[in-house]
Amino acid sequence: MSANGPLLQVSDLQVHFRTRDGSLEAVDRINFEIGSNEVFGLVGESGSGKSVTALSILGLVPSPGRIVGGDIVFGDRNLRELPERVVRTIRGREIGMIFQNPRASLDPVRTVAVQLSRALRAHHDLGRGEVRRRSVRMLRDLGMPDPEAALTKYPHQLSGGMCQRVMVAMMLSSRPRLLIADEPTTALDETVGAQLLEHLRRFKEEHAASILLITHDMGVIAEMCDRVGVMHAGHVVEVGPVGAVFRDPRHPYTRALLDSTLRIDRDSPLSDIERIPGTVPNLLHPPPGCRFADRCAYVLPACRPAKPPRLEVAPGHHVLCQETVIREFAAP
Amino acid sequence: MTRRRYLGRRLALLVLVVFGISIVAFLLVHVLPGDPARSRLGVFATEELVQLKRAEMGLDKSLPEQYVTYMGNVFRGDLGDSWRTHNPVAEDFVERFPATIELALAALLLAVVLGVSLGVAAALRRNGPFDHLATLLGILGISAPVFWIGLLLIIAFVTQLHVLPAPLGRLASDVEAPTQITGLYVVDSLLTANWEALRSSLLYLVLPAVTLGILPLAPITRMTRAAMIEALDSDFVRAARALGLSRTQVVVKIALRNALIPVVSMVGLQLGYLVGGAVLVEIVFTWSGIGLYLYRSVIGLDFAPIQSLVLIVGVLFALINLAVDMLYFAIDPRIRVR
Repeated sequence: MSANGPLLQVSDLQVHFRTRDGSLEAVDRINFEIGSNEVFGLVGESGSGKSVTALSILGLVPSPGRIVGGDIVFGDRNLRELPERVVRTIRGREIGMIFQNPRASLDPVRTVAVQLSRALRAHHDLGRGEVRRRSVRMLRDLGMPDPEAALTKYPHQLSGGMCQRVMVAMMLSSRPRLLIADEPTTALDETVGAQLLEHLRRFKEEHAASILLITHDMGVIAEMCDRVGVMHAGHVVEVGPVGAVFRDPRHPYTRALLDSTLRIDRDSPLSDIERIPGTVPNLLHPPPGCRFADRCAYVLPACRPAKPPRLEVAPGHHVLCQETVIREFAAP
Repeated sequence: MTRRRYLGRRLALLVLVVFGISIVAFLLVHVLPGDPARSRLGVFATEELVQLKRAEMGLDKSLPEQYVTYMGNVFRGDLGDSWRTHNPVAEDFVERFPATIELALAALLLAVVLGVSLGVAAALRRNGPFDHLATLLGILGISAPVFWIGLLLIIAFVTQLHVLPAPLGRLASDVEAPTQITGLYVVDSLLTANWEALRSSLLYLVLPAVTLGILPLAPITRMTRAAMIEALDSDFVRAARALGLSRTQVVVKIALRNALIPVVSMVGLQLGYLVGGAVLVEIVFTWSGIGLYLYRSVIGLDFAPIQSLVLIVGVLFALINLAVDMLYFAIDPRIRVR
């Protein structure tokens, strides 16, 4: 974290989806912050609220979802208090977002050139020649083979990896200070994914940008991130420096998540991998207390009646758990 | 290359379809009740006279022979004569066709402009006022017969409000028709700067066009709404918004542009149905197009026009479908490689 405060501070963010059967609490009063020039990872199972959190930052939560509480402070501005017209000028220019499915994220009926031009012109008044020059350069930087030819192609004529490069080029075109990457490598094969991560890292170094990296892959987190937040059922259950969280997880869920990951360096046989029992609770009528209680091996009576407190177990290392549980859990 | 091959295949298919239509049109005369020879000569003609007439009309030959003669004539542009108007059918047709085209195009234009706007408005605010209006219009378009809507409109705007002329033709009787260029009065009077004819033809066109337009309005609105909702929820629209593009750009240039692809095919289909609807509307508004011509021919058992119109409308329908498929190439790049 930099001396003059974090780049992004999310506090008590609450996102609900209105359904016929009541409100679905997709994100329930979560807190985390991202320092400048930092890579922050958000990890968790499918449906834990990672993507919704990311879309909240951009103000793009899909209907019937709605941010019902909390603050999202970017720099010195609270994005929740800004009118849509101002938020729009921040989107793409100061906060960019890379999506999970690159091909579906491109307009199917326009050429790459048109789409890059849209991105470049969204916030800057550029001439035709300049747009073209920059488009070619961006694609080349991203390792696109024959960028000139790629400009004339439609998304369906490109491979998944090439679509990803086009989307990344679009999203980085305005050199955002914060880049949100939602499962950027999930749809890609291993090598292309590694290249993309390398590119993101380079982008971060060159432009002193911050990255919010969303993934369910602990390996990617370990490789890329400075700090990590672990999400479970709409709660951020643990936040802290990657080293500390990985070495010494304080929340039972984080421990379970790490135990369920295959690690080559530990030379562990497949049978040692732990499954996390149970499933993510129904968020339509979530239990009032800890949402991991039903799956937790250390559960105590105190876990059920109320949301557990947010405890600072070490400087910058927070855990959403009952103190007694943490203590028992830390001393096996 | 692929495009040309596709076009070739479609054209070959078109030939087959046209052949089928011609058979149906040809057989129609033999299926319809009433004897064409008898109906020309009247009920008092002797049986010998009728037989003579049948021989003269070629009705005594075998069906395949008759078909070959018939198609030979069609290819020479001879569609037979109407005994009611005493003109060659081709002549009558050329004279009346522009009126129907004018009516159908005006109706379609209304339906597309209104239907697409309403569909977009409904999709942008689901369950909003425009969405409810779209639903209402959809129910109306499906359940209310065209001629009934036409009569209601006449009662409202002609007999009660007196703002529009009586439904008698395409122009006021004291206004001279504009110089013929396309045969569409509105277009011709515009081209010749004939403002009096323009005003009159528009006044006469409004009600029939609205009446006929209600027919395709419902499906166009419904299709636009559905396609627009899908597009607005798509990943590429979300990505475009994340880029910070303006709302108008996202809605019009990206979402609508994509949503229009299914709407175009829908519109093409509707154009075919409009010809059917035009018959009813032309009767209600005494609009002297091919619909009214067909109706009067049917009532008068005038076989040659009926047969020709079935053939022409059928071929027209097939051609429109082909044109719409070709249009797909222009608006959907994904088809080009397949």
